[in-house]
Amino acid sequence: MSESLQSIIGSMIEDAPPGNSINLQKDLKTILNNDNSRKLIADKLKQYHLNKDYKLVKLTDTDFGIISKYNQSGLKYYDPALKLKFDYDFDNLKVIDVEQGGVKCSEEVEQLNERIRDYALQHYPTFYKGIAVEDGDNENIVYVIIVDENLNDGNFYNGKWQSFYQLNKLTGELSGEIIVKVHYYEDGNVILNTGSHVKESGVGINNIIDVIGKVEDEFEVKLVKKFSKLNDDEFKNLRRQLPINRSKVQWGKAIGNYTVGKEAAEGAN
Amino acid sequence: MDFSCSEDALDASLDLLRRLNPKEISKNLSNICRLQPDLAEELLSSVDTPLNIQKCEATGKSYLCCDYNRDGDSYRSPWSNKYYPEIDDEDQAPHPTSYLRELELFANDSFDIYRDLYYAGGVSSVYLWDTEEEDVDKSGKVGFDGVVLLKKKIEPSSLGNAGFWDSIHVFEVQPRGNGSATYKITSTVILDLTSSADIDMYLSGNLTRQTVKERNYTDASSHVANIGSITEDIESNLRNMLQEVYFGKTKDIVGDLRSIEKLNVKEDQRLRQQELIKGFEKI
Repeated sequence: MSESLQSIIGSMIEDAPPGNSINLQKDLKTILNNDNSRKLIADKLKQYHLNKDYKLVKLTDTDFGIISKYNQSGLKYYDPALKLKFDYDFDNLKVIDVEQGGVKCSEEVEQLNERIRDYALQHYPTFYKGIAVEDGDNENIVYVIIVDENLNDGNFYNGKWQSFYQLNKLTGELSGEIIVKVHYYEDGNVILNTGSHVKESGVGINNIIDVIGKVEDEFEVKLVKKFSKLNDDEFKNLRRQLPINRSKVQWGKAIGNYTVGKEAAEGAN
Repeated sequence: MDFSCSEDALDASLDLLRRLNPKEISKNLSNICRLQPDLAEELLSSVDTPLNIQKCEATGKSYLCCDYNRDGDSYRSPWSNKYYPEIDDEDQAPHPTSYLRELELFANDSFDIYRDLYYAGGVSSVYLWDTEEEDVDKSGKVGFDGVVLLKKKIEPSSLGNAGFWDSIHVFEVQPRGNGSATYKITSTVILDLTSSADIDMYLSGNLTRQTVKERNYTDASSHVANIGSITEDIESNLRNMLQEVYFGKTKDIVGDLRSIEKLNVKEDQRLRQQELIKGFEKI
């Protein structure tokens, strides 16, 4: 049971909508109803945020940080732009132990972080953070992570944009993934889940931000087209706004007079 | 487990199922039932999941399955009144009383025409059940409950687009003495649209609304006509709401996450942004 319990909790955490984890955590604790569940849920949340859903956390009065496996330093996380180290308590869901200094990046990555900040400022209107970090082992690998959240529980919606890129400076290859989730839950429960894998060549530190900008623009344009296509074709073909004769149904015993409908109905059986 | 504890667990389970990815609702429902087997029956009857289609062996027609026509693992066909897969004690399983069954057939024929006019395809089923001591008769003075189900699927196109629409309208008919009746309807539409061409995307979920209407009736069949016309209006409204949420609001939220146009943020706006962040209550 314990292994399947773990996988059930893990799968529910992955199915959680963007937005805060408090309700999810509270509901899971109530359902599991035992003392070990706190730790189990915290562990699963941590794994999810380290590996899949990078977490935006408030670090200072004016800035955010990101939790991911790529910006870990020892037992803590670090922010290459703010030069802060911090930890996160996945049980109480808060940033802890923020510490100044001790964060070193190469000049190159330092500058890249500034350019990401400028790029994000031009394209991300809400709460966001973009970071560039070097791989711990391979100095030719640089990661870029951008997370943007638009949380609006007051109007029953939350949205999250996450882009992740890995640049190999030697081969000039950029790979990564854009993931976008929107949750709308007034009188219902609706989710948009979309994303795209990225693969570009001929990329270096100098043009990486231009390439990211181009890739993200293209993705968004395709997404907007997809909305229109699904609306114009699939949605319209599911249920009409009015019957083909453009008048409402005459309910009651006379409904049998709809011979066309009836024949078609029988034909379909 | 004491009563209040299972009550809390039920609320928490329903809360989770209202929020977790709606595309995975069947998986999450069965997972929660594994964690809380005592709550399974209650959860299965109160959570709407995508409708399954089954074949009526007696008539060859398709029909829809939900908790209201279920007995064990079998589902009653609205066309033949028989359970499939067949059950040994068919007579013991729930069936509507004799006149209500006639009304059920009339309701199914009526909604079959409605389905054809609005959906041009798909499957519909209506199930009615007794709620009073007295059997339902032709007069329409005895109340009853029921559910209208509609389902339409679109198979994947060459562009990799697919989708389905499931309507679930659970209703109560409460006749008054004065020739009018109250109709209470809880309607849910599950709408799922998927595209796998170029970029992967799905828009999936459900919207629910409750409606209470007062209408006049002359006999039992006018209840079916009233349910029909009220349901027709509800579906048209829900269709507008779904269009607005799926293709309006959701798209706008994406636009608010990332702007294709450069924002040309100036330093003073940057400072204002920082003020906003100060007010951001982040967990």
